[in-house]
Amino acid sequence: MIGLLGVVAVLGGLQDPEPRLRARLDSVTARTVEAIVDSARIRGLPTEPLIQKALEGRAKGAPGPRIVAAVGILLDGLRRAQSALGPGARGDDLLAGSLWFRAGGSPEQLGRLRLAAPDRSLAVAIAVSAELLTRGWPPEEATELLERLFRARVSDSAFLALRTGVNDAVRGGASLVPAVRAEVARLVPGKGQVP
Amino acid sequence: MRDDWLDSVVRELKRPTPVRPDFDRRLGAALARTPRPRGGWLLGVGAMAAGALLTTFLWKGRSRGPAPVEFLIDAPAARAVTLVGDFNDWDRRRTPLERVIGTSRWRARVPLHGGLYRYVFLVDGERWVADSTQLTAPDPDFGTTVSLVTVR
Repeated sequence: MIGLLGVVAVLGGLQDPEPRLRARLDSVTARTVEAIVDSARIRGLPTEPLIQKALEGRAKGAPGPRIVAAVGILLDGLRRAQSALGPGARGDDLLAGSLWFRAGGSPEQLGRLRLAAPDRSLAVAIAVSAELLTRGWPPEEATELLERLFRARVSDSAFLALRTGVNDAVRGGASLVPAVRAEVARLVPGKGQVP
Repeated sequence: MRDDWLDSVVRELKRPTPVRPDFDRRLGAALARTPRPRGGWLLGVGAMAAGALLTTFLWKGRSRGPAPVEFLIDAPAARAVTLVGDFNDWDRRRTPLERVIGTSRWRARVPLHGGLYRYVFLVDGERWVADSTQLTAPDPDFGTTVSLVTVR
């Protein structure tokens, strides 16, 4: 009986092949991506972003090896984000965390953001910050200012407004980093200076 | 192969059980004499309140469906614009935008559940264009910038 239960448990853990991958990708690429997706599932990571990454590659005409590489890089980003944010992190936060890494942030910095805001979703704030990192905001300064903003309980909509304010200032001729500091100072008066 | 013990059990179960004619009357009288628990009305009201709360909770959960999200792009020279992203399996045929009459803008409304989505516009079936009004992220994997939308 115990053996039978073991077999049932093993069979229950196996997932059906992902039909969207089989329908859109060549068989070798589909099987490889499915293996990556299974690996994510076993680790408790969200699988849908990985599937979507593969489908994005297909839509953009990328060859199979490049699709597999992209999905693997995303899996690594999700895994590192999970390590930094904790096993209970939401899928959105993990996806945003992977963006943070691609933009130059580190797992240690991401973990500090989690500590500064243990009870809220970080996705919007991290996504806004990741975009600013790619434009030249230094990751360490970003982390320290984000910690302050989180401790001041700045809302998601305020983070989006910060981005709008920065863009407006840059369009007006300001440099990015001073513009970010000015917006942070507007949200948390006296706290926008370089740490 | 017969099982005598099982046969005897079956026979016993099938045997009619005699019930005295005044059984119903005596049962009713016994129940009438049994004291009812005090505060029963309170339990009833509590149960009704719990039921109402549960119904409300379930109804709210059921009604929390996807929220319509509007996507807009200004593309005066475009002949066709489609929306592709995490919400439609990056299928370039699934979400065409409609041109807003009398303008150069194109629009689509997509019902989305809460989450963070990556997307891009595809203009004339060949040009990938990020949404300049939304968050963006570079996509070094496939060489185009994607936009991000968050839905609560």
